This record gives sequence, C-alpha cells and structure tokens, in this order.
Amino acid sequence: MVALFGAIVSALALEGGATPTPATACAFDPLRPATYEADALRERYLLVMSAAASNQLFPGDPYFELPAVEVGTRANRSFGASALPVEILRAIGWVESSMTMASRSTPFEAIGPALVSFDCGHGIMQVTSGMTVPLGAGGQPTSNQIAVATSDLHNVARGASILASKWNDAPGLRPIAGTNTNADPTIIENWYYAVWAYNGFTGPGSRQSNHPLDPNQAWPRSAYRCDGTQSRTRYPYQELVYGCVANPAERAGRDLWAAVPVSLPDLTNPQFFNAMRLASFEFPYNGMDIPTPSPSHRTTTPQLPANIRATLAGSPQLSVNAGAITIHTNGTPDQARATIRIANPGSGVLSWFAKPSDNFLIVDPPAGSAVGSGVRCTASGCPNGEITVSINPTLLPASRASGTITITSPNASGSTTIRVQVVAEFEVAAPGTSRAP
Amino acid sequence: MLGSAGLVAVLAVAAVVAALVRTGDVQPELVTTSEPTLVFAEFGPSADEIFVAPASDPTARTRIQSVPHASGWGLNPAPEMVAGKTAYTVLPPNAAPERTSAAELWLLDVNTASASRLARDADLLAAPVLRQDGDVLVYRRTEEDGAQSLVRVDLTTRARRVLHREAQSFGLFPVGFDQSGAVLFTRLSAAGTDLVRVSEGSAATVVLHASDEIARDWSMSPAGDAVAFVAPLLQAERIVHQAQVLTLGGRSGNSQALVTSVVGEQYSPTWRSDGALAIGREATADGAAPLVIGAAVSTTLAADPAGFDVPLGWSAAGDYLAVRHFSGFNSQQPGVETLVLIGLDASRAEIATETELIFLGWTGA
Repeated sequence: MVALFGAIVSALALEGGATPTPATACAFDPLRPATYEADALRERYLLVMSAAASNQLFPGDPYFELPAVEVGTRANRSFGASALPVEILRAIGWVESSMTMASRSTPFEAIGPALVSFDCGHGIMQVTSGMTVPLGAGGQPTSNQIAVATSDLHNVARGASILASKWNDAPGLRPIAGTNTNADPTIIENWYYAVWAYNGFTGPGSRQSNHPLDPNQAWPRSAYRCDGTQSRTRYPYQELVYGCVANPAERAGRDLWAAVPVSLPDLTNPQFFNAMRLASFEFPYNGMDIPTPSPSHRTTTPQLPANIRATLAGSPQLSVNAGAITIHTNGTPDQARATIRIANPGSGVLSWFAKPSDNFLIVDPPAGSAVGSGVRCTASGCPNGEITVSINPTLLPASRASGTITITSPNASGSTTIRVQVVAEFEVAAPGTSRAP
Repeated sequence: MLGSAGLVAVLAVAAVVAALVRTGDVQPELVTTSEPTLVFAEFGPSADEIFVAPASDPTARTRIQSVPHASGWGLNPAPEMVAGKTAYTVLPPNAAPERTSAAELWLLDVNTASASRLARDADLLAAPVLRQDGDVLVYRRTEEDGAQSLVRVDLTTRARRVLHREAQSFGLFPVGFDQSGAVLFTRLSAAGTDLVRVSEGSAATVVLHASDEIARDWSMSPAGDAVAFVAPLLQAERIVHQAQVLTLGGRSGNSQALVTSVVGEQYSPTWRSDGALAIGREATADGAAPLVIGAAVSTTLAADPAGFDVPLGWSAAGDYLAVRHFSGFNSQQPGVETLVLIGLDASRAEIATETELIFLGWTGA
C-alpha cells in the first residue's frame, strides 16, 4: 500500500503549476523567448494580479480564465465565484520569481530574455504545466505557450488558474482546509493545501517534501520574513508563501503590498497535528482535513475600475519592418545575419512569435514582446522587439535557398510573412558524402 | 489519537539519567590544542560565507570560504563537524532553485580552508553524516525511479558505494555510525519512524520503532553507543516533542525518556564529549536555558530572561554550547531566531548578523 501510495504521490507531484518537474526540453528550447519587464515597484504586476484574482483578465477563455472555485466541505461541495485571495497570488509571484517576467539581467521597464527556469517554469508565476515541450504543430510552441512566456497578463492568469485548480482538487484528490468555515475560499488560511500543491503536494521524507513536520526542516523555525535574509532550505513551500503574505516584500523603502498576519496550522494542537501524521498522508487524504487556522483572515477584494482589462491589455498592433531579407553566409558578419524589428503602434504589450518555414533558419528570440503606448519602456532596446535571423549551414539544402518567417501574435490580429533568401558561397556536399581536403 | 507504540512509560528523572547517559568506558579523546572556535555560515541570497570565530570573541570572525548556491537556497550541513571537517549539500548556482534539483555534496576542511566536491546527486534536504573518525560519510540521493539510496563515501579514496536502497517508504535519513561502523538511519513510513541499522554486505535491521509519528533531531553519541532524539506525545491536550535516548546494544531495545521532570516541549538533544546531553525546553517564567543532563547531576546553563534555546553543538571540551535562541515561547510562537554561544562561565554571546546563520560546528578545544 505504501508503494502504491508513493506512486500516486509521485504522479500527482508532477502536475503542479510551479511543480518542479525535471524536464528534458522546454517549449522554446534551445532558444529563449524575450519579454517585457515592467516597473521596479511591480505596480503593473500587482494590478495584473488584482485583476486575475477576480477573473477580470480572460473570462471565457478556457485556458486563461479563473475557474469557479468550489466551496464547502466534503459532503457539501458546490461551485462558488471565480475568485481567489489576491494576497496569496502576490506572495506566490514573489516566492516564484520575485515578481519578474524577465531574467535578472533585464532592467526594469525594458525588453529582455524571459525568465525560464531549468525545469521550464516561465515568468512571474513560474508556470511549468504545459510548458515543458512544444505542443504545437511541427514541434512549434502553441499560442498559449507563447502567451505564457511573453505576456504578464497571460502568465499571471494561467498561474491563478492553476492555483484555483489545486483548490478544486479537493476533496477528491486533496484534503480540505476550513472544515469549520465551510471551506470558504475568501479566507486566506483555507488555501493552505492549495498553496502546498502549487509546488507539489509532496509528503514527508521525499526529496521535494513540503510537509510541515518533515524532519529535514528546522524545528522550531521562525516565520519566513520574505526579505531575502533566510534560506529557503528550512521551509516548506507554503510557509514561504504565507510568510510573504504576512511580511510584504519591500522595494525603495516601501512595502509592495499590505501585510496580513495570516496564521499557519498550530502543529501543537492535536486537530492539526493528527492531520499531518504519517498515517494520514494517504490518498485521497481524507484524514488530513483541518479546520481553519486561527485567527483567520478574509481576503480584501481589490477595488478595480470596470475597464481594468482594457487598461492593462491595451490594443496591441503588429507591425514588422521588413518584407524580405537576404543572408550571405560567407560574407561579413553583418551579412551573415539579418535583423527584423517588430513594433507595436497600438497600446499595451504585444506578444509575438516568429515561425520559420525551414529548419536551416535560426530565429532568435523565437518569441517576444513589443511595447506600445500607455506602458513605460525606458531602457535600451525599447520599445520594439528584435529578431536576429541566421543560418545553420549544415541544414541548407543547396548553396542558394529560400524560406519564410511568419510573424504572428496571440494578442493582436494579422500576421506578416518575410521572405528570406540565403546565399551560401561554399559548395554544399550531397548528404552522406565527405570532402577530401 | 497520538500513537504510543515505541514510547516508553514515564520514568523518574534520576533513574533515567543514571541508566541512560553513558559516561562509560569508551570516551572520545578531547582535543585541547587550541581555543574553541565556532564555524558557521552566513546565508546570502546567492552565496553563503563561511566564517570561523573564537568563542571568547565571536566578533573576531574570519571568512574562510564562500559557497555559491542557487538563488535563495542555502547550504545544508552535517549535524556535526569531525576533526575539523564537515560536509554539506548545496544547490549549485546553475541549478533550478527548487528543492527537487540535484544537490552537490561538498567536504569542507576548516583547517585548510579548502572545500572539495564529492558528488552531484545528493538530496538537498537530507543532511550527510560523518563517521566519528572523519574518514567516511553517508549521504542520501533519490534515484530516477523515486527510490532513495544511502551512499557511503570513503573520504580517502572518494569511492562511493550504495549502502542501502529503498523504494517503499516515505524517506530515509542518515543518523550516524555506531561503534562497529554500521550506519544507523531512520525510516519514515505510514507506521511511523524506525531506527534501522545497516552495514556493508548485511541486510538492514530495525533497531527501534521510535514512534508512530515523526521522530526527529537524531543525535549520535560521541562514542557511537547511544542515540538521542525527540518524539511527539500528547501532554495536557497538546502535542509536545520530548527527548528520548536509546542505548545501542542494550537489553531492552527500547528508548527511554531522557527527562520527565520538564513538562512541555523539549528540543534537540545534543551530546557533549563526556556523554552528557543538553536539551532545550520551551520558555518558562524564569527563562529557558538548555538543561544539561550528566551522569550524576543535571545543571541549567545561563538563561536569557526571555525566549528559549535549541542546542546545536558543544565545543570539544564542553566549555561552550552553540544554540539557536528564539525570542518567543515555543514552536508555535518561536519569535525571532539568533545564534548564541553559551559558556559554562554563565556568559551568553549572540553572533551578530543581518542574515540567517547556519551552524557548522566547532574546532579547537
């Protein structure tokens, strides 16, 4: 039974939003997409999270909308509103990425390489699910994958959707927190197990353990302060997140969000301790149901303008500066590559994807962002996207070849196809032959 | 609902101390070549800095090593330093900053301020343990099929061999080496925590069913003839962890409560080289310094007026005890943590820092 249980745990652990799943490739491998990094005080991202927490970004989109969140105990479960505590979303965003879309080398208010972890976590919410392999035709990423990697709105919305799905996994697959409060999802403490599951609902003793009684983790341990002064090695994931809810990250001398002194399960209380017993950690975890840790705290629903989605998303437009390019592989370095600029004459942040027709065309980055009006982009490289096109000569079919690069966008209409002429000034051997010196 | 199998009945403290705390025949030699020197790491977001500092003046710290790591994830050291050597697991800087990433296993020789990598497949969260002579260590790794292996490393040849492999439990944790050189480890399963013994070429055997729950903070005696740990029990409608000791090779095969006169939570039993044990206890009205339980008498170290202490490790001659000091009351309300040195001369010295400190051990006397 234990072995079976272990197998189930292993299987379930692989499905998480930011679940650390070893991956052999990511959606854009071996290249990395580019993306827009917003302001240092995360004002844009915090607003995006407020909108995502109340399903105001992509209602009706089956991949990016926030699903209805279930309410009630095991015997009395029903669908409630499409909403989750924004406090949790903010803290997860901070724990996962310090609330950044792009890599650390990218300045704020700039365009740069997207933040992609080694396990294929993408962006602010480090979305892993659906990002580990290209899922589109011909080994190309899908429009959803492009959006998750390059659009802050889509990334946060997808992370919120995954978190809600972790909540909704109860009671069939997960325990319930809040047996005495009808598992009310507006109570922040009731998200304890959903947050745990966001990183993998893993049991004691495993390499990826998030169990609060795991002997690997220090006991006792002070609350996580979310200020970068404590090692994460000593904390289960959910304590990192709740620590950031209670202790806001700070930048430029100001808290990025309001502190909420949330409560963790009191593990000296038999009600909570018994739920965390080794014998209780058995699928489907009925024995792990807990009351709401007290004192509990209700989420504060952000007051947002009715047009928040339009404000954040804008009306991006796709504009490409080239219709045809020619590359000379044996010319000067400048002739051996070409640059395509992608602009957004509209507003908001445009996501784009460049799809080459042939495998000898190298398009780097394969996807990215271009910033339009209403969004600050102040650092070098702003506001346009830039693609470098080069050639893999070993895959050229002939010394003169042609192909196309098609630029599309998941959040703007239209597409542009660029013709590419390749002139290779060397003799290309037939496949399978070798050339004597 | 707290299970009780493996936990023995309450015993009078005097009897327990007399019976359990070995002052016996095999005493480790005390190192008296230099003054006691604390070895610790200061956590940094992308690198931990390792320092040594004399116990008499912890402010006079000297940096001896920098340990770069994946963002946010500090090193995880062996519970004890042996002959100036310690080992630690750490996520390398280029690893995914997740607990699932394969960690590196490093050996640090404080005497030469040099570190060498021993393996790249360790489990970050499972601390390695060194044999009492410092020539061998054991670490844990997780295989691709999810099984966990305990791997023995000969520190002279760097040869690695899987000592034990299991796929049907929650997890394995190395504890230490007994007098015969066999490895003791704990096994977590749905049935609780077992202490298991394994030596090369022999099947693993259960030494003790320590608890139906998670027993933790295992500590091997310096002579390798006893182990101490804490296990949860229900006390006055509250779950508290209390210290237990098992004499290895004893007739009963059961662990026994270390001290029963202290109600409430007990923390991290820590052996002194003479066989005495320090245990922490939750805050009381008169302060809660560690209690030192020796063969003849029990003593209490210097207390802070507020908070409580969790023992980490004794200096070789037993003049100082490093503790994690908490400003709060107990595990539910721990407050702020600091690293403090308590001297037998009733001194208390906090190690100043702006980030978390990770205790590595002691060198010198």
